[in-house]
Amino acid sequence: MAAVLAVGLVSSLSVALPAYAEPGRPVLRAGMNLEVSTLDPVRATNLFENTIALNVYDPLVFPDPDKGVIPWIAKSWEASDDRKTYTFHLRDDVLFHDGRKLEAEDVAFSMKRALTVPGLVGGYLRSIDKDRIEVVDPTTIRFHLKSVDPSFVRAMVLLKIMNGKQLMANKAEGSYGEFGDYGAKFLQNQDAGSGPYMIADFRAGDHMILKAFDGYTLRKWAPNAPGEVRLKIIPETVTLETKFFAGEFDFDFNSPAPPRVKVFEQNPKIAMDKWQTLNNYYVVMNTTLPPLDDVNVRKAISYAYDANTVMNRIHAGGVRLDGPVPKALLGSCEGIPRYDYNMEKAKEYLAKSKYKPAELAKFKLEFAAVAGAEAFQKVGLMLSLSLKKLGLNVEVKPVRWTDIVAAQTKPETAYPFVYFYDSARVRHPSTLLKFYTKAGWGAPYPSGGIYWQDAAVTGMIDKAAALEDGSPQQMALYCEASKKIAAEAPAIFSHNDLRLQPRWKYLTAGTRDGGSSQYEYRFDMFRFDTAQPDYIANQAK
Amino acid sequence: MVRFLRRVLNTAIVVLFVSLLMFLLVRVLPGDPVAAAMGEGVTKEQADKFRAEMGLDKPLYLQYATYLDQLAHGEFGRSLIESRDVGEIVSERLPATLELVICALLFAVVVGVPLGILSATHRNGLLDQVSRLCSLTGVSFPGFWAALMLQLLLGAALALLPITGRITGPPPEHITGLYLVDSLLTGNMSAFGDAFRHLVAPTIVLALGPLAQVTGMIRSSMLDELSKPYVSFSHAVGMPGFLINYKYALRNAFSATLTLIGFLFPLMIGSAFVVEKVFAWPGIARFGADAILANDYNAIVGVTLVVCLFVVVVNFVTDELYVMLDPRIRLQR
Amino acid sequence: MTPTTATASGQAAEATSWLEDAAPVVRKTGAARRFARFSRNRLALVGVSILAVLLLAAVFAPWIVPYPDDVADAVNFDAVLLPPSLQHWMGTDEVGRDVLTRVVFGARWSLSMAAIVLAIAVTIGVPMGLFAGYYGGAVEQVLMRVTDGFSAVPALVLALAITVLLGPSLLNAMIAIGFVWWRSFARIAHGQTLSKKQEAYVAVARSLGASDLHIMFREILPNISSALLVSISLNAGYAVLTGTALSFLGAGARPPTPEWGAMVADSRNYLPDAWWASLFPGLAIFVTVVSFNLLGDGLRDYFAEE
Repeated sequence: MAAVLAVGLVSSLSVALPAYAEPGRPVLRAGMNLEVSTLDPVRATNLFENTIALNVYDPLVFPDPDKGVIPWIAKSWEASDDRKTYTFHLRDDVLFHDGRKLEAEDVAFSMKRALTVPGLVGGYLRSIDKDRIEVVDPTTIRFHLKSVDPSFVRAMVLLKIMNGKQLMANKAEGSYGEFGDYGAKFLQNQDAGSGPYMIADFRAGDHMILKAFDGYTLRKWAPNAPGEVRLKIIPETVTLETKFFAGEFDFDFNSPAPPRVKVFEQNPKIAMDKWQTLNNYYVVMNTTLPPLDDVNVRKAISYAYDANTVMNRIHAGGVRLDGPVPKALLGSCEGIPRYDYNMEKAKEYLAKSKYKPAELAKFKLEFAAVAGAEAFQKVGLMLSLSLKKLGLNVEVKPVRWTDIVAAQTKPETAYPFVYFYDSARVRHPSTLLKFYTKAGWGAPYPSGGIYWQDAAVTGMIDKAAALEDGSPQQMALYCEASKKIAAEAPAIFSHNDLRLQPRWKYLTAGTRDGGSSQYEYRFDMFRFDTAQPDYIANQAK
Repeated sequence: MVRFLRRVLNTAIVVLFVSLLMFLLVRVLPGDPVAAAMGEGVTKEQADKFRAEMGLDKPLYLQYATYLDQLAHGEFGRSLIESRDVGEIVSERLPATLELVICALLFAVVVGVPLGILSATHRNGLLDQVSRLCSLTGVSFPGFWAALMLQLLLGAALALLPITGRITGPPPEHITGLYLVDSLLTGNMSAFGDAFRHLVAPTIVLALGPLAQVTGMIRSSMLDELSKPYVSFSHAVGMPGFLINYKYALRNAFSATLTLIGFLFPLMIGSAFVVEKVFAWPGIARFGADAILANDYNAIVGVTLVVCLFVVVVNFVTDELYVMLDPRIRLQR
Repeated sequence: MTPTTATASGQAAEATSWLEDAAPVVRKTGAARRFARFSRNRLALVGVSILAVLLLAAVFAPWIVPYPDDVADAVNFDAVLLPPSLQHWMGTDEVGRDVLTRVVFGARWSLSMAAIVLAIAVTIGVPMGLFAGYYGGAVEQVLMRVTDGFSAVPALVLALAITVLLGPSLLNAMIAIGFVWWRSFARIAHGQTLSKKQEAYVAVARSLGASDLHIMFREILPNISSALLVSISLNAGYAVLTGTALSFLGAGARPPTPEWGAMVADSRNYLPDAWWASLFPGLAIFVTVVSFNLLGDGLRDYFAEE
């Protein structure tokens, strides 16, 4: 008890003090080109909100690129025979940042909160029965599923465990009944987590400072891991890169655009890690709108899409995506229809369309590109150029991401084309395939407005869910479903991109995919070579 | 006194008018505040509930009354992009913008006034030619472009100055929120230097146009003044030239500068919307630009109203000072 | 009328007027000599010449640019960000389009921006100013208070808000700026009308039984047109600056429209290495605005002599 109190005292003290470098431990500095608009892990959407959430909060199970998930706050778990009930056994030595011990009650609270507060985490966990969350004892929790969900355990990575007592002690007036605002006000500038870092200072639109949590027990602190992380919001890419080269930042969250790559590669002090991601890039088509309701038009459009240029010239490289699921998740699956850039074939399919050329020429199709995402606009320009050659008019329209998300929730408002990526937060084919069944419609993200279905595909996906996870039979069904979906071209399946991560050579940052989106940015795994002169010079900046 | 009260009343009417204008703009023009506010997957019931909660289902004049009432209590409503109260954001970010605008204004006046006077007294000389050329070009720069080019020059090419942000190290203790003032008050010289270095580049960009206008206006009003009979008379009676310039020129410069400040202030706040964006300056203008672009309607109204309030107050004060300094106007009224 | 804003805008308009000192006044009559008199102001002539070139470029753009296809949604990823060369005098941009081609086409957008903004602003502002100045009293109070209200929010801010609320596009940006800009013309028309309505010809017209509308639009308006013309050309430059700023912020032109502000916005991520893609569109804005200002000053001096 005394120890707990002491930790609590220390952590509350360090929160109260303005956080500037304590001598000895390295400070990690980086720039963010998007605003951090929420610190609530349930509401986090963009790369930075997500990165902050996963450094400040821990999940029950931790993503692992090889094994899927490994025990974390939960030291073990088991499923019932019908795979509709899961029981997790928690470690008893995990502390929240206020020094209190993490208990099953907190897990139950966090789950209920994630399923109540709007945000994309709830979407991934929607198979869980919110009213049947059982706290068996302080270290045991049981969830009941409404239907079998083969991706359930992997999806648990997204559930960040929050300090329920602390949030409720600080609740404000709100629309969640006895839960008030569910801690939203408290979370505006502080955290309620148990992760390796604590939010020490946050100024919306300006900066974020994280400090290492000394009471962290799940991983031992290395002396050359960042003791403090300073993130500055720098909206302009050019300024961000200038500051990186000037040594004000240690690494760069963003892959440089292809024309800029050589600038990074030629700098002797800079290293660039490259790894293949599972980010699924596609152009979703609203198949309820004419002429996109015609499969031949969709196939023609798919053939008119130059995926290689998109992948290698607009983005910094990657592997081609055949069908809705990346190869890495689907295993060996031969015969998925693929649309390699071919204008002749595009013309052939368009000729087969039920729409006459004169009718096609009348459509004005909007291509929504996320405002400010330059690469996305370029993809739109490219597609509109080749579709113009086919006699189809496409207008590229920059739209705010939140507006796209809102529009995509209904087929009536969904854009004809949206280019975006799904960062495969949950690494399982079923998550990605579900979007092509009615059950997966309308989820704003990550499906992004797919309103296409097919009875055979739905049948296969449902059947696969009931089979043993990872079994050849299950994978075979997923393979068949992918073939069928790709044949109908409800979206242009583009590619999985290559991540280029520039860093100063004294820093070892993530070097491969982290197993779930942004888990490569667990800062406690970053290491500094503190003996290098560049390190010493840059830390002073 | 009656005149003064009338002016106060007029000013209040202007502010009220702007509040009505902005209120109508965000509600009458297309763009659904509910969709913007709720974003992700709203059901119709949720949207209706939200409408009712926000009072958006009531008739417009009632909405306006409620809205005025909230404003009177200092409530601007929640910002969508930063999900907290707009008033809080504004009060947090206002000092940054004020510091920048005041510095730019000072820079424009301190450099522009002497330059204008020298230009006029050395009419058609080399200095005059150069300063006229600068003034012509100064008002013609697109601010965003000048900012980018200056960033490249100062930051990337010469590595002389920081090119974004307001301060690198810890900010000085909060007193006024203006870093230069606070660091001086607390004797924190390192913070002062730090903040000053960050201010240089955005100040120059923001002051480009105003500097040109100050120089030009001071020059032309000086020329006017110097061609008046009493100046020739002073020359004739043998008053030294510098004394004449000083006596007539400066008094004239003061009132001219005052009017200019009233005119330049809104212009500079407007330019700040672009300049703060490029320099990642954590001020109200950058927030305002982001909020407008994001259709964050509480923030749009909040920011424009605060900006309007400042413009109106600055105009009012400069005008009153103008009247105090110039007895002719005082007598006229 | 609040005196502050009146004096401020009056004086500030003056602030940009001094650039070229009036040439020695030699009164000459005859239409043929007018141009000669105007062209003695060499800087103004420079401004007019540049504007003429821009106008010609805008009109004949499709025939004079080296790569007419690069205006629309052309992309060429084999020629991305090539530095200036004989093939591409201003280099290529981030999707391989010829920058010179796009800069030339951009003249169309900037000149139409100026034209549309001013047309809207004059149409709203001048009648407001005429009415306010001519009728005085309550009409004046109401109209000028509305003008004050519009002036209390910086033009860029109000125009940005209106554009975004209308839906970001170049046309909406033009409409929004026009809708914000009328206040300058209301001010000038108001001030001018106040002084002109005292003149003898107004009294004469009135005694002959002319209607108020006739007096305002047939007697007073022609007599204040020179002041309005000067103000129009001075405001044209600022309208272009505001329009390009809106596009830079992402509220105006949509890709792939070759609008100068949008071009700078799109290529700024490739600074400092690929400086040409941002430098030239920015220079084009600068030159256009300078020309409008030179023209305005020239006109002012010209009318001042009359």
